[in-house]
Amino acid sequence: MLYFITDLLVLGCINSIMVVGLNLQYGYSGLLNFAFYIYVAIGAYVAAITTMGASTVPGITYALGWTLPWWAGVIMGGLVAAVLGALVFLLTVRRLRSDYLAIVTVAVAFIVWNLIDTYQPLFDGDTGLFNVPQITGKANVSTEGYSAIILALSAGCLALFVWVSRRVFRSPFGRLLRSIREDEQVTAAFGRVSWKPQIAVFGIGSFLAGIAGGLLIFYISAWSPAAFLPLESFILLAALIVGGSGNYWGSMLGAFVLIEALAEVARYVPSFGNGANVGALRAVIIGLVLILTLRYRPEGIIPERWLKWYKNAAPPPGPPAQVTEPAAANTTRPAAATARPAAARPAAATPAAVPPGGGNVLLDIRDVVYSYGGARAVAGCSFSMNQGTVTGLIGPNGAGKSTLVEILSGRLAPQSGEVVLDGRSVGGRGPAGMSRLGVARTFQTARVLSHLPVIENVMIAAPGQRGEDPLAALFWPRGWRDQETALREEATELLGWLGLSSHLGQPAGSLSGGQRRLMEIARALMARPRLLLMDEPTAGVYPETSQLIAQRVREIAESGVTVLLIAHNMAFLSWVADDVVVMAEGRVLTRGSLEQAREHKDVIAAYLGVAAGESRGPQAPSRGGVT
Amino acid sequence: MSHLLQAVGFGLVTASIVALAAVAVSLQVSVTNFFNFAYGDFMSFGAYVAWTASNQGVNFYLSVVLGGIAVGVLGVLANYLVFRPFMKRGVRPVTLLIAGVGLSFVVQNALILIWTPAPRRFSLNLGNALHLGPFLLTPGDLIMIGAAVTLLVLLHLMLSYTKFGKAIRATSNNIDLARSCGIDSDRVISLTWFVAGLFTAVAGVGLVLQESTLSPTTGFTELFVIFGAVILGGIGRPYGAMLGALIVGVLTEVSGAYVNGAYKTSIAFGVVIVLLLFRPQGLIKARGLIS
Repeated sequence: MLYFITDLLVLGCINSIMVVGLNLQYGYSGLLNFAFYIYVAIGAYVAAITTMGASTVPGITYALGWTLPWWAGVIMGGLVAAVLGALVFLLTVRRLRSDYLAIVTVAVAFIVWNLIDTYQPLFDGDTGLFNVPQITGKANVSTEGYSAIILALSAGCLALFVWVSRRVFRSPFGRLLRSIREDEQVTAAFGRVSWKPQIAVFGIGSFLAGIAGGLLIFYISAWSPAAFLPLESFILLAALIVGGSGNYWGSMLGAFVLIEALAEVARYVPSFGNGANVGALRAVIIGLVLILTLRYRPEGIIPERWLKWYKNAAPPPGPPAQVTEPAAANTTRPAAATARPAAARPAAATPAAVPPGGGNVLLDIRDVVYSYGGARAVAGCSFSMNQGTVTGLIGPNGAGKSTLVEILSGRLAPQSGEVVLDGRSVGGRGPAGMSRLGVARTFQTARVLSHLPVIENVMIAAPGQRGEDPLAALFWPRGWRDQETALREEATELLGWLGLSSHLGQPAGSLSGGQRRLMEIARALMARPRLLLMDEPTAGVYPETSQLIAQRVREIAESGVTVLLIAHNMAFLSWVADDVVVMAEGRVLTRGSLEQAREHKDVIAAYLGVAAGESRGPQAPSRGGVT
Repeated sequence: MSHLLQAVGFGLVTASIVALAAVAVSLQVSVTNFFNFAYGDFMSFGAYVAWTASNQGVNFYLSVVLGGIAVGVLGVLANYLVFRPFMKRGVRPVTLLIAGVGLSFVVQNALILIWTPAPRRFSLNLGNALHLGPFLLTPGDLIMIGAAVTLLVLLHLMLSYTKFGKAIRATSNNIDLARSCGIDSDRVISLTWFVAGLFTAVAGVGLVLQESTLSPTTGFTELFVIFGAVILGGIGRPYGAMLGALIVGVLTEVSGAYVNGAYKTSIAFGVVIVLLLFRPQGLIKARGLIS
């Protein structure tokens, strides 16, 4: 009886290590690995052949034949699995989407399995390895005793890996992984390269698989290709999803309930028909439970949790800035904010003190051209912006405004012409490059990381987060904890300044349209930009929220940030914009105050479609790709 | 040289089988935008139905048709009971892929419960292999190639000229727009599942006849070869899938003729992976699927 329990617990712990590893890949990061068990197998083989020495059985080779101590073998197994995992991930860096990654993982796993099964000298083919010595060496230990030793060992490893998961989850590294999982374009716009953290987490997950494999082979003492059929990986995945993806408690629960408990129950089902029926029935049940869980409780039994302080984040003292805060009269520019003057904004968010509106040119766009296929969306556009000014970019649909913003944000590279930021030519640097140069943006359709709390949505944008480095995240929290606290305070303050104090811990997906716009502004400011690009910040926004946005944009400019915004709402523009650039058919029609623009005859022609100069019929630019 | 050409001949047979299934998968992906993970098991199911019918004395061709109808119905049911509720909720493609894993568990093991895991013999003895130019093919091989070509031509005609075909293409291009133009997209999707089921069943029988044995995992082992062909051809591009299948099929058999036959599928996978490194969007550019 005692042996029955320890045996169950050993296998439960080892399976839990696997599911916790899979959770790092899929739950935290959204990377679907359909062949996780192949890394378990690699770990098992490596642990065996580096420790068991030369074979004494004729015809059996035991490649390597090393005699490392058992623990070194287990670690070697983990490392080899991690390297293989990272390599497989590298193969798919230019992937289409995560289901493509999943299919490539299976293809690679098939090749590995096929090689192991067929090529005898490697791991003795389909015969496999057997009589792997116990970790106790020659000491005489009873079966019960040995299983207790392995139990202590695997429980210890499980505890260690749960600690690792917890560290990852709570660190900026984990937050970055979650953000990439939710919307890669947002993280890219704030200067993050997706594949670096992803490859790290894929490697760590595979390391856990390898360690689990090493522990398993020293427990069951034999290993062969029949032990790691594709089915095993899918059972682990089912356990993760049913238990609760994104949560290590859920992972462990899934491992114990769906794998161990169901296997035990199956032992008590009287066999009927032929011998395979009980096992098949169990698999049918796993399949049904998986589908039903996805359907009715997609977050699993124990869902992903947020850190406690998100929920407890106290609103700042005093009445929170309300969205309904009265703004100044319609046509005049709102007075400086009363709720929180610009000077009171977190110091870190304010760039180097430069006289606002001072004469120096921050951005100079020179003759920029961009075509989609044959349609010239931006056809030789030139204008410049002084530091600390707000420029409105207006023009009829198809004028090339959004395309220009995409060029400035780095998502598109100008096909000719130059973008000069602070004296440097910066065209074609990509979103990450532009972000590092101090360009931040909001999106035409607000993009939020729906399943993450509002405050995390904002915090991800801060540059130079030391805890995003996987090694620092795991092993040197003292290096980033203070920074993290400061960022949290900064984000809280920014969100309060934008009237979102009471929404810090709410999933961003539950925000209203106007609140999403406000949150995007907070996120962009968190990046400490010099140039802020806003693509229709008031589209579909309630007028009073528009007023708040206008007021905040003015204050942002007064703190020295240069703002370029696309807008169609003239009242809004008259509040915020120092001047406007009118575009039509990819060119600048005129530049000046809003009043001047309104009276300009070309502008009227462009908006009303009256023929003014050349015909515009056939070359009306398509805006495909930038919506 | 004749060795090579003969391998190409076998490759054409494999390619016909893979092409039928890959086109079915690709067609379904083009309208629903996810991979149905249970297709391999659908193939096995179709082969089991055909085997059972044929054992009961039903004419072989009629048995294949019965298998096709059975899998078509299974596809429609799978759509209604499993996938459609998710699609209505608008989940990520990955969730549908995992739901397909669950379905694969259910179908594959239901096959074990119904037909036991024991391998079954299923072959068609129509006489000796024939020399056709450089190729050496059995009458069964020729029937397989003929069936594949006929079905694929029929599919092409249907997609190009029938109302249903146009509705499929419209739905795959933009489902919302198709819907607002009065296309009953639910019905189009159901019919697509049926057609895809029909094709996979024929491919399943072809696969079994090629190997002469049938077991509950027969189709599943072939699933990733088919997915490979689909991805290589460009996801959601039925014609690309044919090209992908031709490459994968011929590659498998040709490499099998030169190295240990046990590695032939691995080599095909390896080449697919390498090709995708250089052309991740597939040979014919995949549409609207880039994340």
